[in-house]
Amino acid sequence: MLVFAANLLDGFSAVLSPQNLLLAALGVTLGTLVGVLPGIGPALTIALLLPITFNFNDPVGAFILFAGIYAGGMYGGSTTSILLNTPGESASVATAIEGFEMAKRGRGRAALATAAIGSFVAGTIGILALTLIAEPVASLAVKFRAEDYFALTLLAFASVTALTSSSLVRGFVSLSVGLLIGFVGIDQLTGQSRLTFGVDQLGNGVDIVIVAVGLFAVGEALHMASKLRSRPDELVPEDPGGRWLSKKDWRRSWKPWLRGAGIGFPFGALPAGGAEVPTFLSYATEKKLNPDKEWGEGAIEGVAGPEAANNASFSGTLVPLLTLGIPTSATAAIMLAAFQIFDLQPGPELFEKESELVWTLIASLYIGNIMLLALNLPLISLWVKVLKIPRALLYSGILVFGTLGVYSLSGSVTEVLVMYAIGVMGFFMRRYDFPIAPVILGVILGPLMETQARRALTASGDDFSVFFSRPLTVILLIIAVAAFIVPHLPALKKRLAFGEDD
Amino acid sequence: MIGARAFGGVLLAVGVIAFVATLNVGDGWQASGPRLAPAVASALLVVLSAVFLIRPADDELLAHLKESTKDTHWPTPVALVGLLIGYALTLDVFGYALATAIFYWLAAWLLGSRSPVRDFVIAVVLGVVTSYAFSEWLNVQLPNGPWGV
Repeated sequence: MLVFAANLLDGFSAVLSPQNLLLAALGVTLGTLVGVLPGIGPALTIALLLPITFNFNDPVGAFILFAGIYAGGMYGGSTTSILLNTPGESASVATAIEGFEMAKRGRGRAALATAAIGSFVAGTIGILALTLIAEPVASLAVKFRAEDYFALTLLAFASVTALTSSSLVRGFVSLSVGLLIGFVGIDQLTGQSRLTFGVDQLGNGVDIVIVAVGLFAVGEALHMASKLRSRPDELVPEDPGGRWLSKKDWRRSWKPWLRGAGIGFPFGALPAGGAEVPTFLSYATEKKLNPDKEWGEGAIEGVAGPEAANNASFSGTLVPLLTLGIPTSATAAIMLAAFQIFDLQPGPELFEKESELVWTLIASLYIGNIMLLALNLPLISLWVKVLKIPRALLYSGILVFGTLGVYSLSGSVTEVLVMYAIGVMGFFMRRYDFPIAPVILGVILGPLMETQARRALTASGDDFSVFFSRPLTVILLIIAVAAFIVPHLPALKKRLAFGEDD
Repeated sequence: MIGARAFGGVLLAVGVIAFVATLNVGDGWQASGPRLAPAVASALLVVLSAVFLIRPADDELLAHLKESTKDTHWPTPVALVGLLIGYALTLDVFGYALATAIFYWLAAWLLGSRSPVRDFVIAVVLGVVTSYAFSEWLNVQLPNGPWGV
């Protein structure tokens, strides 16, 4: 324990320089700016802003900027959920239920404050928990073999797909589309090109940024364009309204924050994560424990709990991401891409060889949280003004920046066109209720799953029994099957039916 | 519902094309070879989109479709796709700043903005500033076009 605390302190000392703090402030500001745009959650915020970090020589600076962008994106997302009732991702849906009611009744400031402070409290608890369990998990993960990793990726696929889609068929259609996109390019083991259809630029594969920007940004812009004639711009409030937290609000908020953090972290830490289940679980818990409050008319507990759960669950997601290299949400998948830009492969080895870097990342996530509280909460009137920018200008701008991101990544028009094509697909997926998160996960985890499976099969001489010969592998496979079936048991399905993840 | 079926049909076609394409990969079906994984993924897509085609309508989808397909105005997204393709193709020819300014101005108009003068100013500033910022500060080489911007 002491060793980990010392590691974390080292991380902080690496982060705390004037230049890095400036980067954190810049990241938080940019992240919030993009994150407050309606319908845009942290995953897209990161994908859009990822190209900015490409040209850093030093991963520490990039991670700090990146952590700021992430924290800002989360905060921006909850701002629009509360003020406009347009959650950018399903993890904010629970927040929007009571948050929007509070804003309508002139308590917008209190809702935003309980969300931001709750995120901070939960982030703190989450980081402490991460400090405690990350290294033990990493040292356990060293013993994992290729077949275990294969089973883990299956588990991540099964749980994310089953949890984020209203229909298993559509969820797995999304997943297989993602897998196919992930397999495009030259096979790393044999050098053969697959699914490139003779296009040279596809040889390096389709980057996750191309997929994310296409699906989220272009898909959303096209969706907005198709509805232009029927839907006027939302009325944006002049001012979030009301005062910050009163004494009574504090009293009502602190328990939901702690409970939310307690619910969120374990869910995120399981390789069957995602933030949707814990946020709704926290919402349901608060409702049950405080039945006498004004539910449906702006109960502050309904904002405090889910927001804390959302944030703690993200700290939890870092456990499988950093120790196993397995992302369990769209946001985590894009973070993995950020690691890969710096030739870092998260996993037990990263913990051993680059432990300083890992703890610096963890410390910078925390700094991002603090920066957010210090800078952004007071500036809320400014962010509300961002919401007043006409939709036409906003979405044209998003398209410009999405294009810029992909173009600066590849320097090739072909990849920009591929991104647009994926965007058109994203538009139809949104229209016909195919979930997006499994596509992202398929693109990033598909190649990893294949590599591990082939490694295991090569070692066994193409004998499939390698997947059933060790208890650990078998247990992981059984959990994967359970993750696939359980959310669709009729009794549970009713309680978990809450749309798709963006 | 017709639209959902058509999309299902496109996905089915993609699956079939991908499956056929993977048949040329590698020289056999050995489990550790490069063919198996993409073949399994495309077979999965074929089977699942066929299932979707046969029975697309569950209650959740019908409820979603009612909302998402209501009052669709097709010309705008179609024109926007055209505009995007034009943007991509003019990037190298006109240079980043000019192509971006033109795209932004037209896209803003297409998406319903009716202040062309203001939009024109924003478009030019956006194109020039991002082009300058990315090439000067972030070392990203964006195409200059014949006029060096």
